[in-house]
Amino acid sequence: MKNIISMALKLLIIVVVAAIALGAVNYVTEGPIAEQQAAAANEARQTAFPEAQGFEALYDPESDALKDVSLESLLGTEELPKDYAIIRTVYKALDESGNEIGITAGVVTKGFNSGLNITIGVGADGAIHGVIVGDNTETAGLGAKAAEPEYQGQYVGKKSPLTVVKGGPGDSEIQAITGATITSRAVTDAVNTVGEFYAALTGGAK
Amino acid sequence: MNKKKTRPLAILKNGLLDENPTFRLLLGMCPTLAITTAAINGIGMGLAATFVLVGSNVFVSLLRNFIPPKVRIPAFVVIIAAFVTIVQLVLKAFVPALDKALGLYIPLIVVNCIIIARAEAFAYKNTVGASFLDGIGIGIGFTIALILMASVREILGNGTIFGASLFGENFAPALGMVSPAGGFITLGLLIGLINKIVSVRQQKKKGAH
Amino acid sequence: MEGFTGILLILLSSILVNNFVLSRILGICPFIGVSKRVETAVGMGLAVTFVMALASVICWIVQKAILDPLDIGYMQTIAFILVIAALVQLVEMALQKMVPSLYQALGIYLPLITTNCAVLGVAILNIDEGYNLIQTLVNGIGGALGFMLAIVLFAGIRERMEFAKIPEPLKDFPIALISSGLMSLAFLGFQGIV
Repeated sequence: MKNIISMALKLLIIVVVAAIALGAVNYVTEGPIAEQQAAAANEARQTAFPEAQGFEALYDPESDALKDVSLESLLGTEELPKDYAIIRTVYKALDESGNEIGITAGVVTKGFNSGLNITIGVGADGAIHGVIVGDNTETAGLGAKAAEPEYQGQYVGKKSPLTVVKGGPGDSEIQAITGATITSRAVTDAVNTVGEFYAALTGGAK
Repeated sequence: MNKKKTRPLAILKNGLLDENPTFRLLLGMCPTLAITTAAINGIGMGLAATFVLVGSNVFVSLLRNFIPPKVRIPAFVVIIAAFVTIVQLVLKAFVPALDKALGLYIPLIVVNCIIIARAEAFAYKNTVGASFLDGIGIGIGFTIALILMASVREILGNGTIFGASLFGENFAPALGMVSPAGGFITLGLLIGLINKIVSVRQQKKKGAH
Repeated sequence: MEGFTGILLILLSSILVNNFVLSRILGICPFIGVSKRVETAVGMGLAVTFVMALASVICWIVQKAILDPLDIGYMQTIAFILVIAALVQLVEMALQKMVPSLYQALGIYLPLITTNCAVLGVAILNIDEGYNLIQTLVNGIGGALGFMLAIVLFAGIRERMEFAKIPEPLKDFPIALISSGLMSLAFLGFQGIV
């Protein structure tokens, strides 16, 4: 019995020392990690809405200041359409004078695989200002191509709702990536959802 | 035989060639197959794994008289996990691009059989200095194997090497190479190739006598 | 994803579409090492299924009950791997008492389930994908069944290959890898179902 206790104790000591060491490393890296994530998010927003001179958070579950803000409260409704669950953050896009000229929404949806991160910028006129596909686990060479400027550029200037077609896209259409219609549809659906959300946000409240 | 293995240069060379973890010991397959879609990932994973391996080897060796034999495997695992977590946090904070590229495989370094195998086979029974060198040798061997695999797959599967385009616009890459299937096949062929090289050298040695 | 269809889809996804071995590339070492005989492969598959299912659930509970509330997310790797190591130890002892023949057949590969990246992998994936408890359990079982499917199929192929003429340098491991590659290609056909 003594033997088992002695072994268990030694193991415990190792675990505790490891935990302390890790606690220290965590303390040192926490700040930089948060900075990295904030910088990346800001960059995505700026790229999704190049004309914006600044951003103001509207809905961000991670922000203390906006603790009580939910998508429901923004829209003034009790129930949200299920699709809206993909919307993770909403920021107001502002011009130099601080007027709202649109929004950017951070979305996490499922394409071929889950974890498809997209930042979408929609202007006050309903036109799309940018679609930036971020972290994703889509297939390299196929779905992952959604992160390329050539694909993303298609959305700029168009208005949702958009549909995905295989060739010769019209004004309300997006050409799918060859061999990656699922991913293309997922991105387009997300864009449409954000467009719908923004319309509801501006239509209802004003 | 043992005396020869503990000379520093011999230990390093061992990890690079004779006991190359990927091509000869056939360990650490998961990351080898999974992340070698681009040469830069090979370097990243190789360095991360080497850091963990060296750290683990050194600490296991330092504590080799403290760790009771019956719980040595859990003890190794905790030490390795601690170093892996350090790598995770540091990468997330200072090299997020690599963190994203390697993804799930960073925490999975903890179950990379190479590291546990070396803790058990070498670090638990040898001095800190020797264990340190063993970690470096095996780690570099692993990194080179990863870079080799990744280069082949990147060149054939994407037409680039380290992101630099090699063949120009019209090259249609063999996309299959960057898929899991491509990984399996490339590794199989590379090991077969090295087996062939090793057996030819052995024949030559025999022939010389 | 609601209800029963959701569960079914996760199961389908983890067994076929995102097969842990052939698509996600997890669990390779035992896949290559154990799968020389179909019976051993089945036994290994069942042991892994049991460990993966339990590990998924326990790790999820640890994450939600201990790591998240105390904000020590960075202890995830250590905590999870300790849970898995303990589980495998228990399974070993149980098998030794109850099914000694299987215990003998699996040999060194039983403790090696601890280092099976599929087990740690699925535990982490469950958290990353934000699954609830039921979804976690299903994903754990599904992933393991996919693993079992892969190794049993593979064992069957390897049993046949014993009788084939294979060039010397490619014998054993290399040809096993190449065959796995072909299997992986075949499984690509399942992509897009879910």
